[in-house]
Amino acid sequence: MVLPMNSRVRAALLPVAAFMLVLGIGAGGWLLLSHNAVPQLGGIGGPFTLTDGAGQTVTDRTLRGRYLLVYFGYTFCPDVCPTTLTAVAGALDKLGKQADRLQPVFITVDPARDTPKVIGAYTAAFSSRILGLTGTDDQIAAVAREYRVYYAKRRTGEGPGDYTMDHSSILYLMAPDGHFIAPIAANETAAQMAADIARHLNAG
Amino acid sequence: MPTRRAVFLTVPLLALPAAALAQTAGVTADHAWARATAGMGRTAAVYVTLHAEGGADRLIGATTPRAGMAMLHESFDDHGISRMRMLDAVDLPPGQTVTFRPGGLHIMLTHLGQPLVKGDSFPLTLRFAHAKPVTVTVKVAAPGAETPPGGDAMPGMNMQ
Ligand SMILES: [Cu+2]
Repeated sequence: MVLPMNSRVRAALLPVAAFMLVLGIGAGGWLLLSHNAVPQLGGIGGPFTLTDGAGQTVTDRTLRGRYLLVYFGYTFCPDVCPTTLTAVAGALDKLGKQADRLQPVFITVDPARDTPKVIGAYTAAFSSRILGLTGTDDQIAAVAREYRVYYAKRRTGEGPGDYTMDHSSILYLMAPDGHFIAPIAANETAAQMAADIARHLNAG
Repeated sequence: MPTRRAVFLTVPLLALPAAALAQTAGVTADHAWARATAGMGRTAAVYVTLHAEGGADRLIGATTPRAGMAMLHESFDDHGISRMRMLDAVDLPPGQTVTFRPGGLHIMLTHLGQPLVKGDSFPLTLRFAHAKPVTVTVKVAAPGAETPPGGDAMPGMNMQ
């Protein structure tokens, strides 16, 4: 089984690869683990406490029992994030009934501007099935750490709101028990995303 | 820095055809479009196709009455990190077409006065190092659209 990987997926896997090297597991071991659908070694994902668009608390426990597709971004992102969220919405359509087992989650890396109301209205513009989550600076830092996600503020002007955010361009497919299954590149088309997700849903 | 406060347009807005195609000394600009802002979004990206007819030129800035600020931007992927960089100018090599598109070159609008709604259109003035400013009509597509709003291709024009 050959896993299609582009450079950003490879970059996401670097920590995993490094960890496996420590354990003396080579590429074959990785493929074997991938095939088992729920590699326990990745260490991607973990407990979190966040807030949804309605102001309700959502934790990793709340979401257990469904596959998760987790993506980090921000609503002031006009170019890349809308493309990814539209692909996610398109993938849900293509997956049809299978998508009932899947909960896409969009977590902001810009909690200062992305209040619950803002994040909720943003995800709703792409699909009512995408769950937008925000939190305090500490809560966002914690969940980003759990998911090995990088983010950083870049100033674009003098005003307090004049900045953009750099953020990891990976989505994480998580199993119903909370374990990491596979990374999905944020630049995949809806069809590629649906095919990747379906493969794992069918295996699991 | 290519940022400018919005000013009222000095170029009179003629009755532009549906797919606005503007041409002046040297640079043509067409298929200008943007995505509708999502939710309470206060930023937007404008995409346009530029073609330097004569000699080499450079896009050095943009203004629109719809936004307080318009920046030349490029999205790029840096080893798994999605980033945007501000550009002082975009080179327009002679005879070549430079296409702004999602995930790459875009004109980023911030401090939007009002959200952009699908079906809207608004003027955007592009300034060049050599050619005279060109004002195009930006058509607003759905929030995550990958291509310009459909059905507005001029006869004989290749839309993809
Ligand atoms: Cu930008």
